[in-house]
Amino acid sequence: MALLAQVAVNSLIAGATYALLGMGFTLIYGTVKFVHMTHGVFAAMGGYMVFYLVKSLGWNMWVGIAVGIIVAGLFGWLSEKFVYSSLRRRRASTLVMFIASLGLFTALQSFIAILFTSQLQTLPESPFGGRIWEIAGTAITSTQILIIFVTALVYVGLRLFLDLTKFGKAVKAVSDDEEVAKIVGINTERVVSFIFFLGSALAGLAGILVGFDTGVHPTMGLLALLEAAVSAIIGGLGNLFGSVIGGFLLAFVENFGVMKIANEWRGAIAMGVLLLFLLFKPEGIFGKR
Amino acid sequence: MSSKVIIGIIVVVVVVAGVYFFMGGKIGQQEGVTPGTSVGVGPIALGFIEPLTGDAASIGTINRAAVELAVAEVNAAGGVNGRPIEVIYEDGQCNAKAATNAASKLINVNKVPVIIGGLCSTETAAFGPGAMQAKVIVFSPGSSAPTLSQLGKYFFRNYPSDAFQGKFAAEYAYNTLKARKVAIGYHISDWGTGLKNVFERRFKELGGQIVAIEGAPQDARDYRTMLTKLKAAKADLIYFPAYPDGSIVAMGQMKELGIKTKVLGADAWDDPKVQKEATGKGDFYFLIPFSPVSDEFKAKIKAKTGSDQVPIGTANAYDALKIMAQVIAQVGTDPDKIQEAMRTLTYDGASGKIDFDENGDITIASYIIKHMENGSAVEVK
Repeated sequence: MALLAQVAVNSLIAGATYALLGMGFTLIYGTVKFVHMTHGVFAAMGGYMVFYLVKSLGWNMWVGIAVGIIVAGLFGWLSEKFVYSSLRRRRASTLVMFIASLGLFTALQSFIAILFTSQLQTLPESPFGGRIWEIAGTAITSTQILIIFVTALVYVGLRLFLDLTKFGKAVKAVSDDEEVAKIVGINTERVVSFIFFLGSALAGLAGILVGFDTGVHPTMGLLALLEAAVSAIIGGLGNLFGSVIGGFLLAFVENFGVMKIANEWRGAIAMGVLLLFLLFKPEGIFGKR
Repeated sequence: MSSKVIIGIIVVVVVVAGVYFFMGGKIGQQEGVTPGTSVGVGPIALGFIEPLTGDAASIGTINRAAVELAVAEVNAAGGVNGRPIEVIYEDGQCNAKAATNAASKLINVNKVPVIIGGLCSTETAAFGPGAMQAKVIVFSPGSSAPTLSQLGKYFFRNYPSDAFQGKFAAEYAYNTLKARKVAIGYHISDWGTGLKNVFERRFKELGGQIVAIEGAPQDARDYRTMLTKLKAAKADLIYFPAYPDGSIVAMGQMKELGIKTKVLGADAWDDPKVQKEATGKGDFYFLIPFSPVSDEFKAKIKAKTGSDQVPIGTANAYDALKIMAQVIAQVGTDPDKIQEAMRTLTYDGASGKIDFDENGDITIASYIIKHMENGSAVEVK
């Protein structure tokens, strides 16, 4: 029983991380319709900014976090400005976009490794401390509660933003059809740039939270990207709520799967779930056919 | 028109690549050593592969410093028959792909007769077979997977096989720590899986019970459910052969999950970073091969790296270079002659007395147990 409850808590923690990463990913995918590989490295970038500013330079924690999120967002914005937008103007195929983002991913990841070495670095304690809460025989830390809380907050915030603001409606219009959106007078360039900023900033935020929980290393981006992409695909690419459900579904299947069989199968379970979806419901749970 | 241009480009690329590789091979041969001769001009180039970045870089970089130290000493004393030694350092990243690429560069481009490395068993297991085929001596100062003993006649290591370590760990757990029920968590790799297998076999032989076995990839960062299961198995002891970075994360998660049992790790925990991060996270023991590292050697390493730390493999890497210099001075760089000479060698080095059996394994292995206390590790008598 205690085992079951703890595994459920473990799934919640992992699911919240996947969902947070998945939301940023799906936001960008929904708007520009290509698999944005660089998303993962922005997560690492956010984590490393906090590591450098707070742990090495001794900045205030909140300032460090804010700068980390903004820098990740800025790099997302810059990559759109200097790489993707000119490719899009030339009507590059999604494959070209994908490869360009893969190149950017590799370059930025190497850059982080050169600056900070490839080793695991631990971040200072999160702003709410590393206290361990024991509830009914299960353990969860303040940092992990924070991750779950932030994920919920980000989802609600994004939902409100997309549904209620004029800009949010423009984002939806662009993701429905960029050409038509342009014709009706929406500044699509501005919308896309902003989405890149927002999506990448969310990746940075996720990277910081993961960093508080388990530390940062340059190659964490690939793992983050995989988790984000699988969550988003399961939930239905481009669907915000879908990526949240997808993230939690992935985490629960993974953790309860390895509860029954050996942990060696964890990766196989995650990819198995992805395969099943791709075979039988490729549009995802909430995706449009 | 455009297809002509494309064909033209392809032809140019092929020609340039062909010339490059052809010349590259030639240049490499001239710079390196012609096999079979010990007379020649210019330096003798040897290869080195250890993790300089990645999961075990904290150990690999200190090992490189030890080799640099040995090279400087050999060259200061006149080199090998008047020729200086030059080591080409490559990064194996503690993973198979990087190590294989590094080895193929050393073997095909630099034409080295000897590769010192790898540190991680994963590295050595990956590039070893290719090196054996190319008749290149592989001398590992840190790889301990038992399966490496079967690699081939050009393979040597002055670091004991985990056939010894896993057995010793099982005996220590059973006889000294009085554990009867053990849960095992390990990193899936040639090294981790090897240790798990030997430990499991020996512990069962002794009459103990293995209550859970869970493995994770070495780059995993979420060990929670695996550790939850190990905890639920209610073992007296957890045996946890895992690499440094993953161990640091797992130790934090052990604390979160309230794991209070003793945890016995392996030689990879002989890493200052792990010991620092382990503070206050649990009751951690690990074992490392006993090597009588002299204060003199420690002082030399400190002068070189500026740190007191002499992690696993450091003295072994230093000795490996010295041994190769000595053997090459005697028989030249012919790999068949080197491997013959190695089998009859007895060497008294910084890591203790060294001689090799028919598999290239070191014949003497004993271990000591350390316990982590306040950011460092203290030997348990």
